[in-house]
Amino acid sequence: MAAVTETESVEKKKNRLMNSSEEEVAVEKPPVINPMSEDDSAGAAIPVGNSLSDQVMAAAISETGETEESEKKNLRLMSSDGKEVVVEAAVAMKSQLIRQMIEADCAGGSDVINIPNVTAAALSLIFRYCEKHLVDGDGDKAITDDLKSFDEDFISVDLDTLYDLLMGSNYLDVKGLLDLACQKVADLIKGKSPDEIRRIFNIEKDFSPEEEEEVNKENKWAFE
Amino acid sequence: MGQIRTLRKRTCEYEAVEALVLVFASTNPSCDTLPLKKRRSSDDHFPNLFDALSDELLFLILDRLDSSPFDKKSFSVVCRSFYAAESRHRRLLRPLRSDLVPSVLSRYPSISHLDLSLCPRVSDGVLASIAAAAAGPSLLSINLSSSRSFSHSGLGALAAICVSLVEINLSNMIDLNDASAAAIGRARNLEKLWMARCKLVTDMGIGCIAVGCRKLRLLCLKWCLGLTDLGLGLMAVKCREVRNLDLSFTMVTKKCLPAILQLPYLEELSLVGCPGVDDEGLTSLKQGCKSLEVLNMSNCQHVSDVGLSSIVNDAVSLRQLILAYYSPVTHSLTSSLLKLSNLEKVKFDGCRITASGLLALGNSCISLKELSLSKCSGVTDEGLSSVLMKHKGLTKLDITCCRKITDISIASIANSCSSLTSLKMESCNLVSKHAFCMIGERCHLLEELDLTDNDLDNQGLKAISNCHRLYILKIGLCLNVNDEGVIQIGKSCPLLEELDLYRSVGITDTGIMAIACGCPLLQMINLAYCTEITDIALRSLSKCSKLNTLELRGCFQVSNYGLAGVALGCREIIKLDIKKCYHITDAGMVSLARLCYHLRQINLSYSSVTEVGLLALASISCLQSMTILHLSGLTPSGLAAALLASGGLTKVKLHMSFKSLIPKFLIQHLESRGCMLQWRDKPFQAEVDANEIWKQQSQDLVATGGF
Repeated sequence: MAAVTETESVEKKKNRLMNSSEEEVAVEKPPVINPMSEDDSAGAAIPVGNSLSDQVMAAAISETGETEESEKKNLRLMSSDGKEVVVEAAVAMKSQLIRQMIEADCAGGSDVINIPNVTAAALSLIFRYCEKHLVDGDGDKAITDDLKSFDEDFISVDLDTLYDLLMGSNYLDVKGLLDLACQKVADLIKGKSPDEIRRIFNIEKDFSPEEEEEVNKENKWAFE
Repeated sequence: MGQIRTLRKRTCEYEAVEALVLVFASTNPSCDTLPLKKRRSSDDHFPNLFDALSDELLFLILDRLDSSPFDKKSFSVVCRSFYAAESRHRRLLRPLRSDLVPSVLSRYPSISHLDLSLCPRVSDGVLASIAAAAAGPSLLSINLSSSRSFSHSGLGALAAICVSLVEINLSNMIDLNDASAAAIGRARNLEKLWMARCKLVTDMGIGCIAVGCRKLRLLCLKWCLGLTDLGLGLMAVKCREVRNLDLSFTMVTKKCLPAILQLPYLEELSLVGCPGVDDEGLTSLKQGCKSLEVLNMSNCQHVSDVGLSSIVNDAVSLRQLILAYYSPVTHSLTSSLLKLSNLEKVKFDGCRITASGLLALGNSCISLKELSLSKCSGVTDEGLSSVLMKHKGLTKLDITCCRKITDISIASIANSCSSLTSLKMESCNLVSKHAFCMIGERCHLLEELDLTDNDLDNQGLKAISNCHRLYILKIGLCLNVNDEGVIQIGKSCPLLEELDLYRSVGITDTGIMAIACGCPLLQMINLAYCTEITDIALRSLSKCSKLNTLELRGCFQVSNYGLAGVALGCREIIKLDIKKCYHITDAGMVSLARLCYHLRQINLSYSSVTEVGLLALASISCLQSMTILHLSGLTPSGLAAALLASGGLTKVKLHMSFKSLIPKFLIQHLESRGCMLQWRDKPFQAEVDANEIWKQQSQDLVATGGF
């Protein structure tokens, strides 16, 4: 039951993120991905009701052989814009960076993990992807198809968000999402002229007309 | 104790990760600038986020732009950082002009594969500049198979400096001599070497290679007629790593065969058309080659079952056996295959096969995946059915021109081979139209189907549209097919890449429009002599952006308007045939020249194009081959100018009458540039040519029910 409201609220947030490229998104209170104020931190352990996630997390932890952490299910992260984000450990550990930090025990006890390069808004989006991808669905066509359509929908975002996802997934080392974001950028480029690419990505031309001419000539005549 | 150790280990790891994070944060400028950029994006009209991406990310994006060379080129012109990233990212380079190679190599320092197959002339100077370029020492492969005019000195420079080279393709270098081979011998790390048709190389040359290149794994010496057993034997003794050896059309004899078959890792051996290989030599072999997986002994006139079985007997790993144009395939041969439990693919193309031979193939215990009986005489319903009944796992079957088989064979294909993915049965003239319905109903996995010149009708074609995975469909010369059937294909086969409708005179624009709508992946379409086709069909084909080959020969109704549509939508066109498209003029060439940068081959004979059109085509940098017979508006001086301007041409077919009208020095100049001029003396065929007479006859036959 909780799972339904979670996804709804994240969905709303995503939409809002898409609509507002200017103002900074103040992240509210989705149950799993939960940015909160400093004084709230005592009650950090919000119960997580997703049994599947629990299993995966247990599996994740048994892999590393660090049993003492099985009690602690949530992680607290400090985003680049100074907001705290609370996320289920299994979800966060889809990020290889966070996984390595946890395995090296640098989050230690109740310490907050600093994520200096990713905003809270981007973090919650990235974790939404991670949560969905806790299940791989190898072999199972229904799950693979579901993930595929989720991905397609997930990556249909405005340019600022796409940029945040690209940078965030790269920094946090979430391979699947990084691939998805790069593919999206590549798809936007395919079949386009340089002018069109500049327009799509708002890139200024920093070639002089002579230089551009030179490159164009070489591209056309020198090689395939 | 243990705890402390774990703790210390963790602390170390922590430090390592922390250090990593710090390094990452401080050295990655794009990460540092993120908040800044964000701020800028909120109050600036031009956020400019993407031009600050790190190389690492730009590389990941470039990895995904491989499908068309266009995209990477566009990418490189966007801005300086994109240009720089693309320069460092590119690994494969296919130059169009050898004189521009040095400058392009300075732009691309990370090239590892250099393909010069589009440069007909590569001088020693160019090879030296390749060796001297930044990419030289890290170059892994170079393809010179279509290039001429270099010698041992250029190759020597390559071998000396490009120490990482593992692949060199020198095929077709008919003037390559032993000095050049000796130069190649200095490339110590070479693993793959192609020297097909290097006829001047002797045992001395191959000896240098054998002694120098000890790591060779693949060696192709096809048509190297200068080699004898001496050189080949030395090679077999020295190059013990060889896995793949092609000695087709050489003078190899029994003297060096034992050494070759004792190569410990030999997997693929081709001995096509070797007159010196005979039964006597093969039977005297003491041991066969246990590692051999692929053997091709096609066209060996002096080899019969006796010799073959002695080489095959010990080849326990054999997976593929190719025996095209072999002496009669008999019972004793096919039964000698029974022991080969790994055999998957057998080709008997063009052989005479006896009834008992086929039956024995049917009785074998092995399970074939691929079988080719193309152009085999002696294939009967009984024989083929017995084979098919045993080999139910067959995925590819070729029965092209098996003229004795009837519906009975087709019924056994449909009943036995449900996992068939490829079926080729051109010109099986005794098969009736009902048989094709059985194929469509039973063989749903078909991806490739060749029904050229069969009694196929719309009903059959509709049944075949059940094969939703079809990507190659050839139904040329099927005169009873019209739009009705083709529309069904368009609706049901979205993966179609290749469609051959050669002389399908019943097809009109409506059929082609259905294909264009339903098959967005279409790459090749043959509409030659589909005389009902007009510009409407061509305009609809502009939806197929992947189209690279378009045959419109004899579609006399199409004009510049239709061609412009194709040029606009199908930018990746490589091959275009518009012979006898009388309404196509210079304007059509101008639209091609402006939009289709990838055009390599064009046939313009009998069209209304003049030198103006030819000059326009000269701006297509990779245009290599042009056929320009019977262009009535073409003047000698115009032709000369156009040929001079088209610097990339390697082959031009033109009318003999121009030979005396173009200055001799100009012809010499063109030839020295690597352009082959083929003078043809075909008379002008005004309206009806032989093909058209043929078409008329076949239509008459259909009309009178003579088929």
